[in-house]
Amino acid sequence: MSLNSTDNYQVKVVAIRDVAPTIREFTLQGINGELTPFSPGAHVVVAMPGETAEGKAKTWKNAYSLLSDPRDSSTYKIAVRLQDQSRGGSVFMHTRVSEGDILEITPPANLFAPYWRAQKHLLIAGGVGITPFMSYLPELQRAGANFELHYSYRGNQTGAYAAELQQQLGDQVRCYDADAGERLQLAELLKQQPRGTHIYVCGPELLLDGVRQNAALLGYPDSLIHFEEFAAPQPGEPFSVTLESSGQKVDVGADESLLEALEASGVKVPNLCRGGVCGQCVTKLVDGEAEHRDAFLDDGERQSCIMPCVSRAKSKGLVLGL
Amino acid sequence: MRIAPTKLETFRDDFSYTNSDFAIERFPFPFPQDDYMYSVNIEPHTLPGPVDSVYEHLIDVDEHYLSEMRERSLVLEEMPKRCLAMPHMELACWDMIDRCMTTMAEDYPEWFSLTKNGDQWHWHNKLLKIEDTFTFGDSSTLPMPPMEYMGRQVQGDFALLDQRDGDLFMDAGVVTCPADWSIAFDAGMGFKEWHGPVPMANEMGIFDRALKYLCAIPVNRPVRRLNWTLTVNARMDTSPETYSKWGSDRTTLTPENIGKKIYLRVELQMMDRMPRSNALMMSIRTYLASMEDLCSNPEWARRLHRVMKGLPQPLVEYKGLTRYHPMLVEWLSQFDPVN
Amino acid sequence: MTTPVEIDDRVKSRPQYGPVKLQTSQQQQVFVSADANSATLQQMFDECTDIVGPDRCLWLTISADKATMATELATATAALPVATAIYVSGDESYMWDVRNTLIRLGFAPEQIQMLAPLSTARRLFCTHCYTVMEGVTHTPHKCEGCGELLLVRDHFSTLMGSYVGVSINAEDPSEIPAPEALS
Repeated sequence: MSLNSTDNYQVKVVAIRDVAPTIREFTLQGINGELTPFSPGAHVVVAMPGETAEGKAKTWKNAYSLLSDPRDSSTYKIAVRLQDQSRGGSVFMHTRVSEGDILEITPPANLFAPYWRAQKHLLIAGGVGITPFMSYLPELQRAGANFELHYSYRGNQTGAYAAELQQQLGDQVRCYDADAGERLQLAELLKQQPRGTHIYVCGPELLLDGVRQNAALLGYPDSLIHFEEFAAPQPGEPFSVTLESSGQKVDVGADESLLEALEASGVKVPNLCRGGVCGQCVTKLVDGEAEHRDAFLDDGERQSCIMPCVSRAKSKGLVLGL
Repeated sequence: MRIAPTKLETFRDDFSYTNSDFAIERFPFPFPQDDYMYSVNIEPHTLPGPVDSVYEHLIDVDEHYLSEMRERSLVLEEMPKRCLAMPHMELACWDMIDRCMTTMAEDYPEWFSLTKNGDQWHWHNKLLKIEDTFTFGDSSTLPMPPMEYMGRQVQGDFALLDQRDGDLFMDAGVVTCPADWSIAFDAGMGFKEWHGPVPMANEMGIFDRALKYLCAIPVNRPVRRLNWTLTVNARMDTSPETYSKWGSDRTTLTPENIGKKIYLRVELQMMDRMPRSNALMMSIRTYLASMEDLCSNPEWARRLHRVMKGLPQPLVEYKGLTRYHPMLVEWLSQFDPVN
Repeated sequence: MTTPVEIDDRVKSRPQYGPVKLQTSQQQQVFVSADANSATLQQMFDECTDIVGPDRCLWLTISADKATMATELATATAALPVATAIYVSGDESYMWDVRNTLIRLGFAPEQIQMLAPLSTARRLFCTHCYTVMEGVTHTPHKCEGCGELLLVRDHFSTLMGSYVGVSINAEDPSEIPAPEALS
């Protein structure tokens, strides 16, 4: 049978393995129905019920790219990097999840799909940013597409799948281990591309900036470059918000996001990426000064809107149009 | 109880199309209030919906199935270009085949069956007596291109929208019962382009919001909305292509026949994310019911009068009602004496 | 009853042509037209040459015939750098043909700017028989394929560079409206 249309998926963790010193891979199997196939670059949001350092019950929700073959609906795979400054999500996945555990995930959504009409696809990955491309590769191969993968990492921390990718793809993949002194020369790489090449980038901010700067120097058209830039929300100072309609007050702790705090208080806000890019959670900002951390709103919109999935308050309090 | 599709009626020439009492009862009446304004009114298409309603299943197969499928093949025979798929939409077409066949076989096991053995699929459509074995994803194993193959077995028009740059492009579809739009001309257009001719209350920015919403629909979370217009006679193919055939229907109306000849044409539009291609499938399922049949329900009769009377002039023109709108309002007023 | 609403019934798919600005930071500047008729394009070319020098400015005369256009553009643009800005002038359908051809050759839409069309002539797609007609200046226009008298609408397909025409008197074929010049 298939799943009902509004269900989240209940999945069982059927395998866990370390694929790099700080990256752990989880294989998930549907338990209340078959999982759906998905499209290259799709992600799911994983709900992680745990507790805070103070012992308060709390559910983290993080988005992770699916990295298995998109046509294989028997299992999904995700990979989680243990973050230095984790607010709990990656720590939870690394320390609390064991084989046999049940997790809840959303159906796949895609904010980073390939452009099927591209004449060539240039994939640039940094560290754990390899994950969305893992689902690109089987589909690009099936389509007989012209593509190249350039993958940089620090071998002491990341570098998941590097060896198997080199084995499978040969010349179509180039790996650069920074810990072994190898460097990806972005300027050179971008300069060599034939006209009409679509460039896809996923990795740390430094890599994204590097591509942005080199592309700008070269005059590379913006619409041919695609960034996977959603990032887990970063902690900040505690603050509180007031909801305009009800007057309800919601406190936001240092290590939780405004969206998480709203959800914990029973306020439903639509969301998809929980990382500042999809624009689903945009909320009216009635009063107060926001510290915007999203990659979605323009300067005009920032005067009157906020994205609670990543952004916080600059002033002590905010009033939201909820 | 759902009525098995056995009758073969026409949507042209002698217009033998009729609705059973059951069909009238389940008709998706589109007016929640006495006035009407264009709105996006999108809601989750939660499945399964109420038993026997048009919302029960992803694909509603009703008593008109055979008639509508015959009508579709008549149209495609005359104008094959009303079914198209650009080359980059191949995978999306197979997604559509999977979604339609899988749900139809689950929802109507007495009429359709699907057996999957890896990529070897066996499909049996008992209503149309179609039985094929094919390799999923390999279009050369089907008797015709995938969009046409599936399109000839599902009621309603279908379009597959390619999502890129935050927009949705009309890059594939089978459109044989449209309310006055042509996929041959609209092919390749973005969301705002193909909606270009729709008159709009200008302050609302509803297209931007609707587009953002549609682009974010995840797999397995279909949404729906209703749209409506009026059609003279039970004509499914009110396309621009054939306008010269049906335009003159509007001049045949009299106060005596208007209740029988005017049909409320309701589109159940459903948007569903295609898993492998990330395309959005839009199905536009058309339900037709005559004013007379609808007015057998006194509440609907009263509401129809109020909505038609208050319709803004630009919408009267856009929907092509100018010639007979006053006559219709007058006819409907018998059901709503206080207004 | 209902409150009156203000309704915008312009066709939103009709392209708007704003003022074109030189992108002089791009390495190569390319000016495309079918002949030397565009005074504005010529003026931009001269202005651009003054700013960036003649080596970085290229004037291309490209045929309006689609097949010839594809060959000519492919040859003329093959060696151009990534950082190329392109300015196109001509009739509306010509400019869209040039743009679509360039995109097929791998250029991005934001690299191509179109000037205001040189005439009000439209390409017209007959929605009844799918015949495509060039240089239509008046509505209604008699279809060269099926003979229907077509109302020339503002609904525009960028892919075809064409407006759509639909029978103007299907409701009453005896109505034959006087032709009006298109804007």
